[in-house]
Amino acid sequence: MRALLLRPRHRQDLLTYAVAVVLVPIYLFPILWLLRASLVTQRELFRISWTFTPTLRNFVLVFSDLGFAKYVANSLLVTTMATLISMAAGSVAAYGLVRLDIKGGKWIAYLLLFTRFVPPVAVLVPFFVLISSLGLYDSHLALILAHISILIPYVVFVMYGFFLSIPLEIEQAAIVDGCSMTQVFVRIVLPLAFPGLVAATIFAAITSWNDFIYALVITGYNSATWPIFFTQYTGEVTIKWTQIAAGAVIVAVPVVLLATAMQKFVTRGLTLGAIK
Amino acid sequence: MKPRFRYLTLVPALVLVLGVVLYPFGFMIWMVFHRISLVAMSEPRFIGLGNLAKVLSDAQFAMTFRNTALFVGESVIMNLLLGFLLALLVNRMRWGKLIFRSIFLLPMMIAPLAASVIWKLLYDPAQGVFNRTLISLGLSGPDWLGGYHLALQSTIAVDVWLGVPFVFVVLLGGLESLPVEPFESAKIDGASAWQTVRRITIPMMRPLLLIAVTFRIVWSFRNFGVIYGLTQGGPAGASETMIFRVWRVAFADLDLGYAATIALLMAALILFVTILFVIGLARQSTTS
Repeated sequence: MRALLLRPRHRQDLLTYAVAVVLVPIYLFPILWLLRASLVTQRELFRISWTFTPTLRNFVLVFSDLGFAKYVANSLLVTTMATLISMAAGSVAAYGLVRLDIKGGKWIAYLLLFTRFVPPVAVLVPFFVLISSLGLYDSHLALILAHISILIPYVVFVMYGFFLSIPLEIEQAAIVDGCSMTQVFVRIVLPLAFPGLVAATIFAAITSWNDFIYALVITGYNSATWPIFFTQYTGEVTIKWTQIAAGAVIVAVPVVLLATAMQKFVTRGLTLGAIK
Repeated sequence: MKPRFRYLTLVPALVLVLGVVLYPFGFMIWMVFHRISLVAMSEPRFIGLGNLAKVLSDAQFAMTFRNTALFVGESVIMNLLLGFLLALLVNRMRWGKLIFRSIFLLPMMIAPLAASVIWKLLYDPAQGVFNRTLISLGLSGPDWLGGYHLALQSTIAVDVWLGVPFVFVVLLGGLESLPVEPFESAKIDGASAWQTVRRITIPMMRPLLLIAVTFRIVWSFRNFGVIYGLTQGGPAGASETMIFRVWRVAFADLDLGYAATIALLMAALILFVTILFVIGLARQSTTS
């Protein structure tokens, strides 16, 4: 492959890769600098240099000194619950809309589409009032509900597209063979729509994990998720930047790994979500 | 399956969505006509169009409107430009495409608030990388987040960085699925690279360009984390966008009714812009 590059007629290729290789460090500079910040001592932090003695102390300190674990645990709980509930309710509803011939199904689909365009900020204030009056302020349940409301319409639309793309004949054949509708859904439709399920799950989980505005408004001491952790350092006299950087790396790494590993699914989920 | 049974498939999703989105949405419209304070939520007072009148006389609202227009406009234009160039670049690659795609996709996975942590470190006026570099070159570094005119631009830069990957990946997908024939005949006709892009690639990519722009507009409108993390709307409201104003009016000024009013206007604005683009998209697909 490399030898090919050197031939004159591949000069254009060489240019393409040269530009790309120059762009990568510029583009990723903030991320690289964050990684560096998480691995250095406070004293080395502001020296402009790439050479440093790496240390993992920050990753330990962010948990022991700053109580990061509680925030991460809350995030894990909320993201898991919100994603599971949204996937279950959303994919069942999508299947109902696609295959079960429901009267007024089109209007229900429009209604769900409309909620995707209601920006979260529009319901933020009344949602806060509602949650407070139900006595749910600063509970995990309140944040899970908030995330579900954003995720379900998304899941319905991604899964709607996937279910539509499954040939009807397969399902009909299964019914002829004596499967009930529930069996058709569980044994045939869901396995066939597996790429869609993966894509929707990843996106739902990332959306919930990264949510900040709902967490800021309806969580308090008990249920605060990781973004809230990062709002609490600004007031301090000496900001523990290296530990905060370690915290930022910890919350970003799972998302990056998951999304990169599942890239094929993710791109599909993205474009389907975009077209529908 | 019995017809009655079928409706059960929709019940969980609808109950959750109606309860958590549509009911609060209706409640919000009610709030627009009332004065409700965060500290006395049980005593709402009907004030008719009072909150809407307040919008017109609120100088800071005019400022947030201007800031939002700049934030969304600049960010989306830069996203489109950079995302398209990157997609064209990666699309030319014969090998390693997947690796470069993964690399250029990375900032998309970073939550806006986490991004603001990174950039706050870079922007630090005395210790940050940007100013350290400028000072070592003998220049004086500006106060990126504290300067009255610079603060908003500094937050926009972060939104651009976060938004490029989405435009890039959507457009790359589009470029990869384009038919080869028009490009081959353009080559035979001796068209330059720029001519090919302008006359063939862009027209054929139009629907995807519109989709990418629409989504980016909606997301930029909603970007709360970057403003909160970097400037808190400051200095003196110079970088306050509409979404940040909603939060501030509700939870710092404690005026829930007025916050709901701004939120409703913002929702209407987002809906209006989205519909414009969807109409453009529909017209595009019927003519072509």
